Amino acid sequence: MAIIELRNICHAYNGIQKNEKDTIYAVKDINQIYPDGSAVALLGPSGCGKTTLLEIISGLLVPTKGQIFFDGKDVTSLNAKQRHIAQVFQFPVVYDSMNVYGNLAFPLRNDGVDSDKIRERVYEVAKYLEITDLLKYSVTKLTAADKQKVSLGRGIVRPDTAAVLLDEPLTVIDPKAQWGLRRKLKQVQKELNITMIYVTHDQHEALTFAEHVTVMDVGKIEQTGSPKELHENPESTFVGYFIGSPGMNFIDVKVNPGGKLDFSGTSILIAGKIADKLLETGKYFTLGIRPEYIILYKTETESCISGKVKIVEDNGTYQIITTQIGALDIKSRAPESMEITYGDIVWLHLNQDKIKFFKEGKKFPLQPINQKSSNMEEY
Amino acid sequence: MGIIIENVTKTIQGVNILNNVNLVVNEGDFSVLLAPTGSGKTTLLRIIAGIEKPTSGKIYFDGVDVTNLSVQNHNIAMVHQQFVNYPSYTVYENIASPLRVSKKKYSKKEIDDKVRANAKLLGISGILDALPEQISGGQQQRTAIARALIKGTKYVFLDEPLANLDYKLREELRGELKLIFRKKGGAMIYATPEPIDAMGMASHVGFIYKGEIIQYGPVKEVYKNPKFLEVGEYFSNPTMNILEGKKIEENNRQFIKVTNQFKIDVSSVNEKLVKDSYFIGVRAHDISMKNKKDCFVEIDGIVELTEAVGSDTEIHIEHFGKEIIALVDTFVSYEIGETVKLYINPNRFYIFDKETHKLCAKTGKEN
Amino acid sequence: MNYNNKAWLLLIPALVVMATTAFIPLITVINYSLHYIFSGAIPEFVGFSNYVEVLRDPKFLGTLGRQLVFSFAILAVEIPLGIMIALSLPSKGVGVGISLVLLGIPLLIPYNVVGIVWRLFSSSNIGFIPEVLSWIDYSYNVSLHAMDATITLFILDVWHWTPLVVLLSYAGYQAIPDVYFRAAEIDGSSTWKTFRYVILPHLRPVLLIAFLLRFMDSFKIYAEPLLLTGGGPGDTTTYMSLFVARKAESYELGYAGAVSIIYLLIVMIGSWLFFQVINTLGKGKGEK
Repeated sequence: MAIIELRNICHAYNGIQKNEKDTIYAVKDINQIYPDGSAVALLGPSGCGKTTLLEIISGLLVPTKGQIFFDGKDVTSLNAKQRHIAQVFQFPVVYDSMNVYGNLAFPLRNDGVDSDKIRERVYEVAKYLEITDLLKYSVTKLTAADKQKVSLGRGIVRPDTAAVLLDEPLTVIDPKAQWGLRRKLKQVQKELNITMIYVTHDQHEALTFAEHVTVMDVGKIEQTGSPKELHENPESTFVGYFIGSPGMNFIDVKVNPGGKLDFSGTSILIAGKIADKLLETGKYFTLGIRPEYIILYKTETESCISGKVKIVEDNGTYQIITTQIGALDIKSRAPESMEITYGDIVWLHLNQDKIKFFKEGKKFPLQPINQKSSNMEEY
Repeated sequence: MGIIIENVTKTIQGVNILNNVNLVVNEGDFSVLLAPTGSGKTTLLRIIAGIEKPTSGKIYFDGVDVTNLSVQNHNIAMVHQQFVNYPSYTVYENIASPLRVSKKKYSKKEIDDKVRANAKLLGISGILDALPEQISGGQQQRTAIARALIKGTKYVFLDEPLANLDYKLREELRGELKLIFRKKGGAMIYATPEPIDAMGMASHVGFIYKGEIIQYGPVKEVYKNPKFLEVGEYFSNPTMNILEGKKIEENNRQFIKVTNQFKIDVSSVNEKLVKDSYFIGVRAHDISMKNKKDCFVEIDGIVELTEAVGSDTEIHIEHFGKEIIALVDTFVSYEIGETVKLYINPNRFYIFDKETHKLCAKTGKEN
Repeated sequence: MNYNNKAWLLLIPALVVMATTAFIPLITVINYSLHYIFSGAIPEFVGFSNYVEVLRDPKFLGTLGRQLVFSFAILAVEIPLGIMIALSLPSKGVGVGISLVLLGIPLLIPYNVVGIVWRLFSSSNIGFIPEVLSWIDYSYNVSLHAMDATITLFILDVWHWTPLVVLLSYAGYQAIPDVYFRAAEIDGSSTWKTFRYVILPHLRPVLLIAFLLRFMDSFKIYAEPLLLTGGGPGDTTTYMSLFVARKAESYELGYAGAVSIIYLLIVMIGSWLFFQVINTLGKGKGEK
């Protein structure tokens, strides 16, 4: 159990070049603090640096610059074992020549722990993971999901484990078994109050598992926050796009005094006060709004923008409609029962309270006016 | 015109992978073969494409028997799960390759026009000079798709092409594939274990179970009227809740009872229900966390897990030992172990026979 | 299915070669082994009496015993030695190419050249082995002392063939995904434990091949003892191949045929046994 702190971490695989501009950073300026016992996710597309960061935290990689502290102690030069880090990899790593008991007992045996104590601890861990029945079987006979549990078990069997790092652990798991394993990971994390850092490119996994989600892109941290914060208050267009399925719609607008926003041959009206605030900084902004906050009408309605339906996708619960307005594609939701096809003309109403503004990719802060409280009361 | 698959059986080492499969795919159809991994859909796709031969049965393309034709003589295109690109060719060369080896000769200009047109369609015009190892997985898969489309063949087959891609990319490519198909025409057959691929892109869906296609039809039709429990359960996002219940009578009305709290009125369809007990199915989005007009059968439950799924939330609940999933279309969160109330829409139930797993009845009128 | 037939056609050249170099000679030898043949005389069918004679012949049994001891000693030394060398080779950089080439050189040298070279090394007049050994007052003589001959032959073979084991093990070792070593490191595993629980299980298929190849090859050893000692002193370095060849040279074709077949059976059974043992060893030991 430990508080993990990352200070000014930078890493360049090819080293720092003489000319700073030539240095290719895998991760840059990473500063994070993860409280003891937290469920953390590092989320981002392939190549964003999340695996590099995980390896730096685990001790497998020494960062080119920066320091790591566990409970205030500088561990930057210590390796994984010395940091008491456990790791679960993308595919299950188990010792084929031992049975499940042997696998779980292995770290404790290496520590020279008493065999009675080992027995007690192995049974305890097996109970948490619900694999007590499998203890005497050879690991080669297990499913991928159970093997991952054994991997995890080896990680938590030592009482002094500081944190468990998981690198996309569901990658080779059968879809049916995935939710069971996800649930088990979350349960174990909560019950043992152990810090777990979970790397993934899948927002479901990240948002389900973690309280602290760190969204990364091209080596930098875009935003860290709770799943709700990331959803409701993205700090950048990247976060707005990446979180949510589908992600936020982005429209480049020109702001006029009085609240008229021009774009793509049409316009909408927003509160004059907001427009004034925006105009203090400039005229051109990016408007962001999530598809779920746009209402689609099949007949002409006021305060709407209109366009032609380009794609209709059904996900079983509702339909996702891509509407083309000028050169723009805007996605919105429509109920299952609505009959819509390609080519229909529709009218979209944007929920004013849910509109966010961005300038050069970054959130433009506005004082909350008429800010509704959490969504939880609405549905 | 279209593809006809007639009585196709495939036996490998004594095991029947495919058993008398019959299918008709018409021009203009985007058909998805849906089944969990290992059900034989890849084998079926490969047989239709001509890469493997069936043990028995015939395949017809536009009325012509192509069962014994060699692969080169099948004028089709195929995209595989592992994006296979020639590692020493640039993206441009990769896309051009089918034209260079085809029997029909193309002029340099024709090839150039086609490559650029297809690259534009797939959004990869900017990386034409890159090598496969320099580009991302999503871009490689788009290159593979462009390569498949360039010959303009009428029939295109795709075997889980999005499986190895990041979640976001899958989401985007789904929409793009639908658009591409609309522009291209012909017919596409797409194998996948993900129901959402079928729901999002396809016009028709076929469900494979134990080597047979147990249901095939327009997507909306199969979704609303699954003939078998397996189809209903799997062709749902998330999987349909299936529970066992007994038929009882109370106050002159008939119910199927799962637990003391959980009872569904089946009086309107009672004449179809002759047995004592049935499997009943209801989809997660017909279960709400709030008492609504349609959702009013109230039951208690304990939260097992809340899962963020896109912009929605799946809530896994335990109700007297039975597992139920509810889907809420916004972002919410509950603690594991929290007690909650669920409200079920009793007019959205599917009732399946316990032995045959066939659909016996549906509650509710509008379905 | 006409395209399937084309596939069979492609096999014909290989089948022809195998027939002429393997099947037909095999049938011929089996045929010899069932007859009494003595230069020029008409072969007489004698059933299995040749086999009986062979199995009762103390010379045959002596040779077989010698061969078994030799082969097992070879395996006992070359396999572990090969693995150890493979594990100590660099895994990347210039060193890799250099090491692999240096190790490959003994493998490239033709067997008879190896034999001749070592005969020169061990020659009483000009060889360096007797010279060096005389410094510690050991009078080494390959033609006179059975021990010297056998041990020299043994070291020759180790020098010649250990690199094969090294190369196979090296390839197998490099193929082990890095994550297993990281996991072992995290689990606090010692060098020996990592070897036993990570490396060895992953090397199993490679080791199987190495075992089989070395067993079969060492059983066939021919050119080296022939050139080094001519099979002597006496017949102390006459191993199975040489024994059969000599019998055939003296036109005892029936007897030689029988020895050949028995020889073949021993190698086949031995290989099968190794295969079984190595496969079962891998199947998860219980540890409760």
